[in-house]
Amino acid sequence: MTSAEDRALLPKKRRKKSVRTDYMLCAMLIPGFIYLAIFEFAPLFGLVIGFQNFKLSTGVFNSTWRGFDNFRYIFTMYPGFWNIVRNTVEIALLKLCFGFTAPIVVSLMLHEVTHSGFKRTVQTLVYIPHFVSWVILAGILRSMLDPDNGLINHVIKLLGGDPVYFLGSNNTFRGVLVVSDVWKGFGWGTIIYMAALTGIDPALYEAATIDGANRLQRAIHITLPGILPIIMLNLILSIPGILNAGFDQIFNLYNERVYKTADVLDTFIYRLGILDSQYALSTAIGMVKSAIGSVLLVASYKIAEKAVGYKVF
Amino acid sequence: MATTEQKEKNLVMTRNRQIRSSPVEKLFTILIYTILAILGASCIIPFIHLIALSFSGSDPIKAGVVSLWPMEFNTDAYKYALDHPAFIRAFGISVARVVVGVSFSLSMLVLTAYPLSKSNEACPLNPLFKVLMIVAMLTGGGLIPMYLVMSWLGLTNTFWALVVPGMLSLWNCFMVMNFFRNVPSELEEAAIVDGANSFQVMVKVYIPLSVPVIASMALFTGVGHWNDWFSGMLYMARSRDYPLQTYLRQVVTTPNFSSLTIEEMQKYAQITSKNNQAAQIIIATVPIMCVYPFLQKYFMTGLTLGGVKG
Amino acid sequence: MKKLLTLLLALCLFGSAFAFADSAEDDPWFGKFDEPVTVRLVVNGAESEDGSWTWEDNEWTREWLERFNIKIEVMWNANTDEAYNTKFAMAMLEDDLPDLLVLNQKQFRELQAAGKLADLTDYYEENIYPYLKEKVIEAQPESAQQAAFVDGRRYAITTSGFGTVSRSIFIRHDYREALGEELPTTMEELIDLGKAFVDEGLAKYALILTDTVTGSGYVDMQAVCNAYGAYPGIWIEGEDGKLVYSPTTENMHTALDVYKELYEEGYIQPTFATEVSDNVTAYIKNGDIGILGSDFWVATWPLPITDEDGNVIDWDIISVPASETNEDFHVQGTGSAASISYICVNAKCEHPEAVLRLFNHTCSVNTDPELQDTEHFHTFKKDDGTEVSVHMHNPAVRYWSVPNVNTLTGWAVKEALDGNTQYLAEQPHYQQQYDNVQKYLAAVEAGDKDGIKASWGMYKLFGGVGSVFYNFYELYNNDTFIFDALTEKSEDYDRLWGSLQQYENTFYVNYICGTEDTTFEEFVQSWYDMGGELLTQQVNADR
Repeated sequence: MTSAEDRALLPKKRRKKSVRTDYMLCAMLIPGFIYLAIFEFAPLFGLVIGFQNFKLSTGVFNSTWRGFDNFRYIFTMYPGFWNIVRNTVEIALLKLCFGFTAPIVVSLMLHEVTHSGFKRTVQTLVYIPHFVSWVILAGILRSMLDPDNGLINHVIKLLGGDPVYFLGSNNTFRGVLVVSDVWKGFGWGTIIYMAALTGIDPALYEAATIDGANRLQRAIHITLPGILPIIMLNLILSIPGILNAGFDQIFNLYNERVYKTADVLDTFIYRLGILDSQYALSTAIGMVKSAIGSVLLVASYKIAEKAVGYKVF
Repeated sequence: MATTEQKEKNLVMTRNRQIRSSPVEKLFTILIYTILAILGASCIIPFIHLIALSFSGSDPIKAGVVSLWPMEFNTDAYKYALDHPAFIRAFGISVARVVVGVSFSLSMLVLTAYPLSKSNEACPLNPLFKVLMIVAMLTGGGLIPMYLVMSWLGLTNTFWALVVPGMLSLWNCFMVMNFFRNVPSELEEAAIVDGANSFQVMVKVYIPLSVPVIASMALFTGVGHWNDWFSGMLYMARSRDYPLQTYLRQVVTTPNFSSLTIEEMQKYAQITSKNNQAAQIIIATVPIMCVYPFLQKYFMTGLTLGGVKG
Repeated sequence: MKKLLTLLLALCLFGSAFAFADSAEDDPWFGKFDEPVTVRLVVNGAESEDGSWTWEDNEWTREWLERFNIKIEVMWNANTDEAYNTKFAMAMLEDDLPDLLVLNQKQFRELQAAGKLADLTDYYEENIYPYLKEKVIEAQPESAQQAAFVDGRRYAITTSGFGTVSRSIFIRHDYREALGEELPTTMEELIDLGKAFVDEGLAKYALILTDTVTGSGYVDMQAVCNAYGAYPGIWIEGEDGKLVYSPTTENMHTALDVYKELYEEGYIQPTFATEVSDNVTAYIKNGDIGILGSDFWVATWPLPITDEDGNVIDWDIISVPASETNEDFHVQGTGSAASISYICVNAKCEHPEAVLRLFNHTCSVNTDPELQDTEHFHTFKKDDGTEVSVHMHNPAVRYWSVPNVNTLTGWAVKEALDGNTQYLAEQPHYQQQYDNVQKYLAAVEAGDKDGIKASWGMYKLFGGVGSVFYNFYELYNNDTFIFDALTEKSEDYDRLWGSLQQYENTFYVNYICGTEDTTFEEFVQSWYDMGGELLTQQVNADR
């Protein structure tokens, strides 16, 4: 390292090359540090509740320790816990299955569209649901699926069927969850693929056409491989979401009737912690969920790095 | 960005030239256009239905015969909504929240992402910060500890509780950081030659060049704030201070008849709240619908730079 | 939480009206504080949509400030039950509780054990108005009263919320007239009437059911079960004085067999097990059903229905009739001592007497000797003579869906229709419902179809003899109501009850449809094996 005087004497161009600590840059990070400390790390201390025999009389600081008893209790004794875990995974998998493939299929179709006005219109339309909150969508769904005077049941009745109480039956509720979730997200999901599709070399299409490939063949042999890395990446990165079945959506739509098939970890954590004031148990479950999520996240990033050479950080 | 658009255009033109329209291909094309048209329609029909409901009279709504066109057209539901100080106030609080929340978030985002985009030598705090960010992404305190922190800070029951937590989105931070790294260094050097310090460089060089990503982030954060209902419910003391979505939860929740009092039932029987509901939902959705098409051109850049969808 | 507030209200509703005595400073019940005293509340409910009142500023709070020098501070309010519960859980956690607390059993125990609740023993003696004690608090079942005490000290004012409402039988008037039948007086006759409706091609089914066979209130088995001496969902005292879960008794078997037979003969929808209550609405509207055994609110929704010409189709309303075989007939009311609401005061509160004074106010006594013994509920008269109802904006006591008030309204309106209008003045609710009934009668007079449609429901609820609430009043007067005898829910109870109920419902459905070979005896055995045995022991622990 050169001394300050030396540096001052150096021509500007060379000075640029030798990197010095820029204290202003460091200062700019200070708000970030404060934010992380307060809103990301301070709450972690609250997790001790999960290991406590937490009582309101003693509070966080004086409650006695239970070690892993809260966890043991949940896993072995709590009635219906495993049903909730199963619900969570099943709903998340169903959503993943359809929610993952739908944008790919739609992107491939959009890619085939040559009329740019049509293409843009469709794109604009399919993005809309992404921007609407679940509070509002739940309102819309309730209204449309109303067994008495909802639009959907009106159509069903016109076609000679019997009205279905979609949101009140264990047979149909999950269907509503999956369809509405896919509907909300598929348009948004296409963006990433559409971007990737523009990167495919047009020469490949030309060559294929000369070889006599039809459109379907071109789609399968050129377009699809062209976006395969991004598909893989998306798939890998969606692994950690397996325990997130969608709190906002389910919370705004479900009711006691469908707890059996629709109660998931997040809604359960909320009800346990809030309605039953089981603060310790609720925190413990949240912790387990978060831990599993972290493991999956790290794993998926590792896989992403290995499989498609994608580095997140 | 211009280059992307250009590329796409070329691509489409190339393909157009090459395609000979056999009958099968024509059928194929028709099929694709039809499916896409249906999908596009499916995304807008619920809202059209809602608009129709909001302008309809209560009898056709009760009978369930309103589909995509208003019946017994009237604007009472809108008058009702706009006559309600409670609704207007909730709307105003949401607008304020979006404005303040987005400004806070963007400042924080740029301020953090910029140093992170620089080398570790220039900003020795970077490695530490990145590790902390990753740890923070992997852990979570959950609802209850978070509430205790907010309460300890004295933020509960204040407007700040709506905008301060989540001010720095770690994921967005990585995206903006990556974007900054791609800014050509010549411009920066030129600014430095002019005697700008790094903050000035950021403001004068980086921010103007990062409009697409910043606009995207502004949109995502803004939509997030607009659509969030949970923190309003958790942190606001008075229902009159609820943001719009929290307010709307009360509106869209259908009453459970067995728990209603006779007076409430009478009230419910008199007004078909469905058209009022629809009108309020429509009003709540309009701002987003107005803003997002203008920012649409930035999505692709904003989303793809991080490499994955946000 | 709505329920809790409802129960809190129950307390207040049993009070009676008053005119204020000149508030002396030493008056422990209605005295005015020398210094302003603040009482902090939390409220489950939104404020006025049009901005005309807030929870801090309405006729009640203004009245309290003027009368008692008590200032109301609302710490927070919520617009939905969810929001209220969330806020309350956080407030408990943070120990940032209001002065007045309305708790459930679990919250009461936890907060009491944590020392967060004020010992009200002395305050209760000194500051609760004697009339309120005598007529309301100590008039409750012993079990509900005892729940307020821990180690001999009083920490709460409890309110049980027993409700004198049950199912009513709605019978389509035109169908009955077409057959020239009288109103049935026994359950057997009622069922025969239902069958006759079907046999004559008027209705499709005699009775209907849904996947929720008990407890839905819309259409469930309660009315028929009661007729045969079975009471779904509640515990009753057996012959040996021990509590027994009523659905496990032989009477339930009898009631189920009645349904089984109806089902086999096609008098109940073959697919009821998969139908939901909303399907019922369609049956009613299509005229597929001429008999309903439902909660009172059916009269205002989904009824009334109209014919093609827009004329309201009338339904006759009778109380649940007893079976010919049932000599000890009861109908079940709502509420139980186990669902007690605990009204408590925060230990940190400096003036518990101020909180209690608010109660005295809503439940206090008329000093006018003329009106001494009449009950004036949930209303007070201001000095200018205007009356204010409790249920409107009172931040402490918001809901008044207490059926007992409606039951008494049934009586008052009936008396008024008989010419004894003097009772109407006792409280606005009587007058209001009487006016509603008059509206119906006027509409009938004028042949105003829309008017009839609009007022039919309230007429059927309160319109004297043959109305829902007058029927309840008669049942109440004849001591026909039976209530849940359960006094306390143990932790095991909370844990096991859900699955036991699920098992119970599934069995009922399968038994009625004949899809399962399980006999009733086997069901009872399984029910006990699945935890019913343990719970039975626990609920009988004190006996």
